Amino acid sequence: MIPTTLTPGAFALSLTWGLPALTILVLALLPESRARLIRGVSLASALLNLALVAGLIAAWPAHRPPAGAEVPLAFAARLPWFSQPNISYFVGVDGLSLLMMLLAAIIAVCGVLVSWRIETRAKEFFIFMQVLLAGVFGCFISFDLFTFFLFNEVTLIPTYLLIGVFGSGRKEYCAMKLNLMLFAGSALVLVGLLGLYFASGLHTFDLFALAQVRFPADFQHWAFPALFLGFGVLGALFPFHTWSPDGHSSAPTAISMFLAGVHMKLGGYGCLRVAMFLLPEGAREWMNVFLVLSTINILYGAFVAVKQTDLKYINAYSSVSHCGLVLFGYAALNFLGLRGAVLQMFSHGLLTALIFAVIGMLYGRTHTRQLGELGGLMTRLPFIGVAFTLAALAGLGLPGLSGFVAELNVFLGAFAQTPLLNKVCTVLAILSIVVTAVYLLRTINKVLHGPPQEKDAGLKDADLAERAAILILLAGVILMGVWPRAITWLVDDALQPIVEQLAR
Amino acid sequence: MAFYVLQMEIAVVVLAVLGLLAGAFWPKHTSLIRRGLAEGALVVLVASLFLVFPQHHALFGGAYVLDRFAIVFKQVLLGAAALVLLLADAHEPLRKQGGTEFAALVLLATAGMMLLTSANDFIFLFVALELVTITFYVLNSFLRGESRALEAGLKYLVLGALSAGFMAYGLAYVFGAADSLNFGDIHHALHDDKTAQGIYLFGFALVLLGLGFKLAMVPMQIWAPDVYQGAPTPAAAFLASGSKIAGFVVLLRLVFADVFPPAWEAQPVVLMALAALTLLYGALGGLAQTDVKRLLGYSSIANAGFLLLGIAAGGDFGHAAVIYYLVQYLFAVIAVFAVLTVVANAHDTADRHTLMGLHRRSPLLALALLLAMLSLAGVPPLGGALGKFFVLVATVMRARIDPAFYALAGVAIVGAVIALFYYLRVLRGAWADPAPDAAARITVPWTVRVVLYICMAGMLFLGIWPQPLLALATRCLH
Repeated sequence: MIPTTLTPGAFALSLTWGLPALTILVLALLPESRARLIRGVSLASALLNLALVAGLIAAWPAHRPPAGAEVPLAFAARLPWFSQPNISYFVGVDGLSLLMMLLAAIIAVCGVLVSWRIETRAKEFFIFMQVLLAGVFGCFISFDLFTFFLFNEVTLIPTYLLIGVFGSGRKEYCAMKLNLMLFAGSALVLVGLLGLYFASGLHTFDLFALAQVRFPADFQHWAFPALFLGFGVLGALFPFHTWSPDGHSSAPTAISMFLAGVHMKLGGYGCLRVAMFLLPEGAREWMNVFLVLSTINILYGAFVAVKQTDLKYINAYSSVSHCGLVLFGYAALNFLGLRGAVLQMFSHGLLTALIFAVIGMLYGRTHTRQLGELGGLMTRLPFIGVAFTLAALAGLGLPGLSGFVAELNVFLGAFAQTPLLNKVCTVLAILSIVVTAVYLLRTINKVLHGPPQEKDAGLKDADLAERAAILILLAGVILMGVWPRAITWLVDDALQPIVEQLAR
Repeated sequence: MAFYVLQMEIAVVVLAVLGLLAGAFWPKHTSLIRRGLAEGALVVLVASLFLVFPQHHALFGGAYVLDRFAIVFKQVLLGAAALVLLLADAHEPLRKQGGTEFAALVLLATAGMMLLTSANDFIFLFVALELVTITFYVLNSFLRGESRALEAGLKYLVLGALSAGFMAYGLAYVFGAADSLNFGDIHHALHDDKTAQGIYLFGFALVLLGLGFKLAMVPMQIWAPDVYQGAPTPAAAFLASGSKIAGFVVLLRLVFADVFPPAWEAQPVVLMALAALTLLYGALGGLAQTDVKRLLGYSSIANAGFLLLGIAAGGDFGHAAVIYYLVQYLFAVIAVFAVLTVVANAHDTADRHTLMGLHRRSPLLALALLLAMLSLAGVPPLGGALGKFFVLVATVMRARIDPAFYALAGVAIVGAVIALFYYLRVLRGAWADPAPDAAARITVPWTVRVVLYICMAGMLFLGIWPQPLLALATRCLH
């Protein structure tokens, strides 16, 4: 029986979004002139949250429910919110949500660190960032689909302001495009959720209660694409990915890191957690369509990245390609594929945050992101250069770094499927690695190597805050590469119910 | 006759008359009197919360009923009036004009709206409606030096007169068909005698058209953007909040009294079509607007579409959703107009430039505008998100019996996505654009501060803890 009061465990979970919410209040009361204090409070809050998530992960083995439990969550609690329509504040965690929360907490810390130099309107910047954090953490702990949806919506608006106010380039256009497309995606999700609510006959948004229901085939036939596409927009599914290169490229560094690293993962998380978990027949029926779409994602993103000259756009299209790999892993519909997809979410989250951070640092120093105007920076900025190189190598799947582990799982899972279409798509997707190597190596070559330029003579390498951010992210990338077990022990249990559901 | 049943309306009218007299006798203290009227309205509201009302009471041969539904909305409307009176006191052009007439007229309109909530007879409804409309003719053109305000007043007058004509004409048919104008009698007549239903349908459609003017419902929506833009900002605020709420309360009353033509009850095609058209008109029309007050006119049309959708979907939950929606809408829309009351330029309009750099000039106003726009757009954790959600739930519930409602739910969602565009664009001006050089910091009068705090608290409370209001709304239905 799930407790209906706020147990200590559930309180700790709620703190993950409560802490950012509290920080908003504290920041709102601080005077704008105290920029140092504002940054300090934000960093302290992010670090506390990271400690909290780490604590939750440490406590998880002791609290994890026995295999086959009806609700496979630790620290679960269900507080009624309102009765009609029947919605409760239902929180809990399993390994999958813990992993995502860890990712969010790491990137939050690094995001604050790389924003250390923001001076103009710092107060608003950090407040909006905390709103974004609160929404994301709220999403990962919610297992009532409506509260999940609400927290997801909460993330939209700070995104608009963060890009529209603090961004660069065509920021207003890009912010609007991102918001409208994501809002339309959530509208589709809402349609699907209402469908689940009524078609189940249970009148509930409780994920695990809904999972007990066998939805009729004709319902699954339309509800699955609504949900999968709806979340897929946020996960940058082709052809609804167009908001992401624009949005991520025009956002300020920390926000690019967080949007591409964590926020986008909400889409992938929703696809898996809601669409595939609840509607397995729909998933089987539609998967060929999404298999082809995600293969296009992977190839299209990679090829477009080759043609880009702006560093941020290169990474943004690379993100489209790599996020395609997440959905591609789902399309395998087996354990390895799903595990690969989840690992890819974590790995890509760290990597893309790292690369966006590095690009932000380069831009802060050279004031250009154009490939043609950069060169020979390895000698001037060795620390940043090494970080960039490692991130790029991980991105193209070098063994020993995080990308390889994820891609290997995805491709093994995908190739295990017998139909010809799956084999063909897998081969095509594997070939994309070559294209990835082309644009990543070319970028590294262009930016870091070659003769050092005169104008770059006085540049200083990464300062303390930037080094800390880079080292935290790199540690994650390397740890996952050499010791994948550290991640997979969290994930495997959580994926088991989903795989069983898919086999039903 | 038990006149204590009418005590709230009587108190408001007395307050209005006292205000007029006091303004005539002490012309030097008009500001004090105006504020006194706002406080008076609040006192009546607070007092009404403690009064014990008879459970169900009828007056004037059943033309006036007092039930929980009526009482709750009388209180809501009084609250709206009090907020608007506070705004009116802070509104620079109105202050310059002086006098207490504006405040007194607002109270008289409020009395009319409060009577409307109790109307149980078409003649009573018509008279109360005219009391509201005629006071608004004056309120809208109150700034007689501004050509825009005069234009707004004239437009409202012409279309208001036209809609009153429609309604009176329709009432003649209703009377001819049902032999009575009392809702109870009409209900019986309709179900006993099936021969007159065709005539009744025609008459009722005309009445709905007349009422549609108050709701800003297609095809009677055309005045809204013009009048919202030209009218003095507090008057527009009251038009968007009080007047619209009163209109929908009447519509709900017609539904509760079961006087809708029987053909529409089975399949409300007309209401469905009107809801869809109103929604889309409001959403699409707002796209090209640059003046914020004008934009709010379109936003008000789009919101009317959502409310109509809730009424068309019906069912206990649909009606509760409409009640919830009306209350949360009140907070959002008054908050926006409160911001505009302070920042609007000398001509009392609010083009793009008036909001530029608001975050620098007054963080409080920028924050209030942010919350209000997000609530109107339907973003959590604000009341507007749940309002839209509840209406959608009601629509999908109905769609399970009547699949045509799925299409309406789709229209509503598309409308909401389109409308997000223009709400965000307003925010861009306030938050992203730099302040023009000449723009100084804005000092917000305390009256507006109070209004803003109340509205922000209301939006957040309703978005986070909707249960009390939803429970109250459900109780209102029985």
